[in-house]
Amino acid sequence: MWSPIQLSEWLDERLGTREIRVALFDRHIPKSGLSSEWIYTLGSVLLFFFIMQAVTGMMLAMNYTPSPDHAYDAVRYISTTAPFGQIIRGIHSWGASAMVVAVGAHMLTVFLTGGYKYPRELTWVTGVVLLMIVMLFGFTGYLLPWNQKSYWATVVGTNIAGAAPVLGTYIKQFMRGGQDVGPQTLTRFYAFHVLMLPAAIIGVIAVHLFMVVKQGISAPPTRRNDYAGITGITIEEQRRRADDEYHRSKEAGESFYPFYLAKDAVAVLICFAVIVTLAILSPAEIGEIADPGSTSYNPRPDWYFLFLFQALKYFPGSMEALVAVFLPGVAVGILILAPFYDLRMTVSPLERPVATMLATAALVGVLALTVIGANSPLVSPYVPELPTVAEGHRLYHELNCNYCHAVNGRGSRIGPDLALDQFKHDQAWINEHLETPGAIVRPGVRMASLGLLPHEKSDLIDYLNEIQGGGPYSDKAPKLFYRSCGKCHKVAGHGGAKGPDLSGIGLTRTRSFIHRYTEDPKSLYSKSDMPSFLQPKGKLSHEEIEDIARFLAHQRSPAQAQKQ
Amino acid sequence: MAINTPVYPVIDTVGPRIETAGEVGAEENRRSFITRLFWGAMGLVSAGIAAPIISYLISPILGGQGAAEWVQLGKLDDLPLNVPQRVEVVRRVVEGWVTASQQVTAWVVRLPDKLYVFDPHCTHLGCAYRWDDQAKSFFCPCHSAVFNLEGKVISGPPPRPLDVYKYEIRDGFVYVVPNPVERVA
Repeated sequence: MWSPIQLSEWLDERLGTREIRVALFDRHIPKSGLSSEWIYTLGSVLLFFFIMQAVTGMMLAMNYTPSPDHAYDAVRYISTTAPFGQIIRGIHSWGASAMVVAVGAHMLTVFLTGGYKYPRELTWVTGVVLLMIVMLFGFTGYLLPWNQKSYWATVVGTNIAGAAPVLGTYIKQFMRGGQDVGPQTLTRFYAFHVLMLPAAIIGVIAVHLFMVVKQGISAPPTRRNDYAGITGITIEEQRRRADDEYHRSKEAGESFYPFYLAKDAVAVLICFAVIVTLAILSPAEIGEIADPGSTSYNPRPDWYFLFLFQALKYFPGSMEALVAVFLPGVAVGILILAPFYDLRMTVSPLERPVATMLATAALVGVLALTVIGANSPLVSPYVPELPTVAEGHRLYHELNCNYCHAVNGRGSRIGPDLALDQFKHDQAWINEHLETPGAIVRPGVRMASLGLLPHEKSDLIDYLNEIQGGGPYSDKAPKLFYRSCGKCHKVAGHGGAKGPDLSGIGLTRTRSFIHRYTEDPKSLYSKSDMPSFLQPKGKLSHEEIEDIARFLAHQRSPAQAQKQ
Repeated sequence: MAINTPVYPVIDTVGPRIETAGEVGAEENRRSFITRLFWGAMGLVSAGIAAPIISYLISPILGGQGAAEWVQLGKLDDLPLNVPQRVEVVRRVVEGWVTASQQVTAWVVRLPDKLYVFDPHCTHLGCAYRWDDQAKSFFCPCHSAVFNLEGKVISGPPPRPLDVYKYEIRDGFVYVVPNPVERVA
């Protein structure tokens, strides 16, 4: 048996492990104030995030199929059924946002402290490339759950790219893999997200980290007005003095391991704890399945593209290319070229008023647009379907029921519209109808025999029940509605006009949505003026609200369909 | 017993050996030939891989609009006057290796003397717009664009009126080719 020392010697002889260890872990880090050192943990945190995203992503891929027929169900399976699936998906989803935040913060720190200057120009350039790859990860990953949010964000996002002059249409078709966002887009985005972008990011990370080790981490910014920026001192002389200063400060510093790596580990631990907590408390949404024909959905991109989306509101369409392509292009150009035109060796933000103001202005601008965009009144609140209803909904599509039937006017008109009131049969009738189609419908009219499993039939019945208004309402419901809600809302021409007319609400909203909204409007729409009606805040009991919700879910006068 | 280390002859490649002009030229020729051989071989391999990969990757931009097939939307007489109807039909389409049912959605506006069949996407960024019956106009929720019954931009950022589908009326039924056709502002 070999002793550990022998083993390490054996390895060293073959791999040069000692040299690697000295270069990676024993390197000295320039001395700085204690409090400012925490800002230097961001790079390690990012590396950790990358590994975390890679590992959780591999797990998600095991239960995922990049096809519109299955993607949504696969994600629903991961989130609802697979053991720990919800947490793994939550970590991946929150991790994506965390990564964007950390990249932004890392970059801002380096920019403000002049860390991109000689001799770290290439570290900076690869860093900007990494930022763009991370954004592409976000964009391609967003589509994969194939829900309304992801579908429409991709429609809008690819259209923004399509605004580029001359090549726009080609870029758009290249991204979509065709004319429209469809099956080809999903497989394309999947290939980019799990194969090409990871390959690219690993390569660029390797160069970035090699540069960090090779050139050393930049020293904390100190004022250098003794030599930098003073006429008569050449750039070469400034660089020479900066090098001397750096080597002195590096020698005075402590080794990376364990002193700095311990701080990194603590920062990583805190970030990981925050992400896991978020993943548990606010799990990644499943959403409603992508519906290209929907007209009630209000598209929004993920929050880190919201500033761009919001900015497009302030410019006429003829200037779309300017905002969507030209300005971001200029911004990236300025970032990449920063170390090549900003040659003076001043690093303190106080000595670089133009750079500091530019960074602050960009940050404030992006944050302001993001906040305005996030507070925009047209949002798409969503109440998850009950599991059996969701399963029935899936079956409805899988069995192509819409070849003959329609729901709220959407679908074919060969069979009856399943959501409308004239189609009223009890559960036993539907059950028998699904069992032996044609036996109890009028002669000559037949539905195909489906051979459904018992639980599939009951799921379909639950779905039909939900789209028909979530079950019958009592005789008291209309009276209850006009007494409690009629001051502000109209149904069938009666009631107040302060709130929206609800005569067609059943076409766009389900019973469960109306119920939740009546109980707690602000949980679905933070700017709602409507008070909560649930006791003790309001006057209604849970059962009364359910009654009203069913009554409203039956209101389907088409001309009055709501904006929201 | 000590083992003698073998003594290898030392070959001095940069020593003061006097070469003839012919030898120098031959060595350089050989070197430049082999360098060119290396880059040439690698170049051919790269081009050989890149050509099919690039064509494969960008093939979607070469394909034009979807098949120009006529789709029946419904009976003309079923359409009310001056009230836009959202019409949806399902058709089978081939997209790459997938043959799937695709929803064809159109907003149909029947005016006394004219019929409009609109593509259901806002001409700004492609969001789905809706009919606002109170304001009697189409409204897009993304950037608050408003279009009138004829699809003209009333307000907001869209660069052009709503795109239309080519349509025909045969035997009282409306048929369309569901590929958006742009109209000038």
